[in-house]
Amino acid sequence: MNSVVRAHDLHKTFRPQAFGKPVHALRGVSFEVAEGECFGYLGPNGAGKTTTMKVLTGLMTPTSGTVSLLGAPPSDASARSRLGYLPENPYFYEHLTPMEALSFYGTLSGVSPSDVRERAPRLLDRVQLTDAKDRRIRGFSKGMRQRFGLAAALIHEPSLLMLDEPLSGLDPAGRRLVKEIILEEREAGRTVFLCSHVLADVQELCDRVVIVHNGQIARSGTIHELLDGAPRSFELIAAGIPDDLKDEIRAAASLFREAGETVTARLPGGDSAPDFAARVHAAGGRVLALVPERETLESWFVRVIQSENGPSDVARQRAMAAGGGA
Amino acid sequence: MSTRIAAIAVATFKEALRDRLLVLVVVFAVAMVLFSRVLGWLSVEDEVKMVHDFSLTGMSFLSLFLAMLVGASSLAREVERRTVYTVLTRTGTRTEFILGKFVGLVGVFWLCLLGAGLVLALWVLTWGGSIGEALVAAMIGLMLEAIVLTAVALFLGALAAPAIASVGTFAFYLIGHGTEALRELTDQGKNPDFAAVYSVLYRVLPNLENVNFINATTSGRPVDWGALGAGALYVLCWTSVLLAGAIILFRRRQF
Amino acid sequence: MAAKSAASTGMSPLPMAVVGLGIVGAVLLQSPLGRSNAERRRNDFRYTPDPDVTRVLSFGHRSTLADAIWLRALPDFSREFDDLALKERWLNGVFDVVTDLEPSFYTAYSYGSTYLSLINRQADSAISLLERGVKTFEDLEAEDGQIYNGGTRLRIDLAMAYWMYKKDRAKTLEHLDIAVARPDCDFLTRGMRVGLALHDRDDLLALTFSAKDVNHQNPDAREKARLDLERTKLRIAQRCHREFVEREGRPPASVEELRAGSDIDEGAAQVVFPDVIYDDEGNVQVPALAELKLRETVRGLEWAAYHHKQNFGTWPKVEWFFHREKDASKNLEQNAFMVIRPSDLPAGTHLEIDDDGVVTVVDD
Repeated sequence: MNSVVRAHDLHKTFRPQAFGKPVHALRGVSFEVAEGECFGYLGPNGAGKTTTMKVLTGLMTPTSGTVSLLGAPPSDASARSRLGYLPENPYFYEHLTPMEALSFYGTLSGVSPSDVRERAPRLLDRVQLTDAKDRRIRGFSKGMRQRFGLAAALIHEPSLLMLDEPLSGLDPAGRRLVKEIILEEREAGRTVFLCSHVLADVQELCDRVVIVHNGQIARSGTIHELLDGAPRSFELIAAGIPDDLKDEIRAAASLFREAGETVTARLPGGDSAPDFAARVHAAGGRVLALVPERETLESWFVRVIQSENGPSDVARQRAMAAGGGA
Repeated sequence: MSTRIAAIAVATFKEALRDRLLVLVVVFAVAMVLFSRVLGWLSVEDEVKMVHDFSLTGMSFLSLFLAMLVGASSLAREVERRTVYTVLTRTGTRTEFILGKFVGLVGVFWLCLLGAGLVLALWVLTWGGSIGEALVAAMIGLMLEAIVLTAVALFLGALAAPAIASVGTFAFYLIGHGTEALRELTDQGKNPDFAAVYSVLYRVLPNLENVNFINATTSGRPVDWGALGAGALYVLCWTSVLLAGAIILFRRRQF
Repeated sequence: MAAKSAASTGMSPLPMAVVGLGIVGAVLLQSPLGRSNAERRRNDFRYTPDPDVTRVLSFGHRSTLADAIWLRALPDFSREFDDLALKERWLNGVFDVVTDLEPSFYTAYSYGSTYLSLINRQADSAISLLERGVKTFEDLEAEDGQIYNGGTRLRIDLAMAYWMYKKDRAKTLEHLDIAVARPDCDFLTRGMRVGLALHDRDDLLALTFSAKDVNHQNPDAREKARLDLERTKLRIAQRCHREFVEREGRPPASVEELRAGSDIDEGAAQVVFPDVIYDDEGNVQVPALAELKLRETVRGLEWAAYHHKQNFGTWPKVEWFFHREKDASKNLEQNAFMVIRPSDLPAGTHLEIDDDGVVTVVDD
């Protein structure tokens, strides 16, 4: 299978002040993105995600290492001509209307004026901005800009889409719309490189994920590879449990709550939870629910970061993940 | 000119034209033109001379302010608003980007100058003056000056923060219009000790007086079109240097 | 309740009172402050920078800076200075700087010299300023190969300054001759030169100066030159007549006798006497003059009519030419341009004006 993006041993060192301490944003990042796949690039703030994006798109040159974008270095205009890039929180020429801006971006990507005229209304319709086509971008909400950015990234029908936080700032309807478009583009055979904090979205959209942390690749693999198939824990809800059995359950549970005669307990994965359920039933109690809890990408992400950083960092990362990566 | 340079130029032109700052600066210039008549009333005679002098000087300041306020910050604004991300990741090169910005800015500045010039022409006619070739030469000189100032602003904008670039553009303007004094200092043999230094500085420093034909509008002296042509070539030299410098700096820039 | 509503709109009484009192205070203080400013400024040291420094600091906008300094200085010309030496130093500084910044600033030389000589009684300063201006324009003209009107006018100013303040006839004539020879010299100045020549009995020179523009390309200038020439002839003839009467104790019997008995250059005589006659009352006349004078009057009326048309949109009625003051009974606007008396017209004629503003003298 062809690699559309190939990053090999990327290093990037900044020196924020002239004689200050150097900051190593990337420390040997390597990965490949295969043609036609939807690739998720994950990491906490400051992990080097945006730096990687900039190196891949040619906005930045790596301190060392090589990048190949569609078979050529990013400095090669022909490589960039097939790249559709949506930066994080994109800004456009504020005084242009979406139609003017699409024509501008189209021209910059070598699309003929007639093709722009034909594609632009269709794209604006697709991102639901037809009503706003004659308004200046200046007055657009964050979500509208994000949707317009997607249209601008698609105007030249690129074979590779690089999207930096494409879902941030969108309302639920907008998120669904953008997700649908990403999936459609993928169906149409385009390669998608998605950078996001919103792990649920990545889980929903991506085939394969790389987690970058402290400028290095922490994990990589398909979603299925990364997530263990068996449940990590069970939630048992039962009523009318005899006291001795109740004490036994309390001792085994990581979380135990009693409301009236109903007990809710989180029990570790494996056989213990089904066993307790059988014993409650046998002792004349009622098992109201036994819910297996599988690991989500989010919990997995937190676990990976925790193993890299120690627990102190976890709370912050969890908060970040829960906040949707805004 | 490639279509991409043209596209960037057009976008820059439209952006700048819709900038409120531009309106403010142009209003200043037009007000200066109109106000020049009031100064004419204050003078004993020479009403039309005052209109010419103050208006054309005002238009020279118009170029300066536009370069300082719009030109010097235009690259920084692209970077700060990250519009540059959406432009440079496309097929165009950074060279094309700088050239496009330059052409677009010069286009806007020229439009402003021509607008103010039209107001001046009507104003002069209103008060009984006439539009001579000297005024045309002065206008052409101002437009040439605007080219260099734009290139300076872009160059400094690629080199440093907008505030520094603004101040630098202002300094360039002052130096550019002050260089001629160096020649006068040496010509009159007043400072023999420094004559060599002055004469080197005189050749090396930018000299905007080469395209300053404002003083000729009121003296009634004939226009030396050859000198204006040579001035245009001189402007071309400096503009090429500054733009090439801006491109070199911008190519190395990390975003 | 009222206080509450004031607070809710952000207009609480105390800040509003402070604003009001502040404005009132500033207004009240301004007039005593203005008086003390005037007192202080009276003996202000007026600083005028060194021309070299100013030239550098103008940053190319010399002519504009010259205007600015000139405008700044104008109100101070009329101010009273207690220290006259200071004023003199200041005045000379202003003229130096302004003319250095813009050497072709005609007004600075002209107005400056007038001010220095007439008001400040500094004839020498005035003359040296004018000399500088004349020299500057001379250099400019040599360089550019064209005539500057400023050069002519300053030359005339200089001649007049020598005439009025120095009583230096030689210097006056020197500059006047240069001025009169220039194509843009005005008729008044030429008239003065002619007068001086006549006074010196240099009749041929007077006639030459008068006739300078009789072949001018502009018909109006030609007319004006013809008028001047005929006037000069009349003045020469009148002088000859006067001298004849004084010498002989009687008027000459004819023009031929007058010519024979006149002490006059033969070349001048050939030009003057063929056009001279004695009228019925025994006065010397140049017959062409009456016609030329009338034509000049008509030209003046047409010029006045043109201004009337510019100002009121219509050509004036003929009566308007005779009215300087506003005549309410006839509803005529004031004519400030060119007014004539009925006696200025030949007997038995009147004026007419047509739809193109052409004025003609027609028989009654």
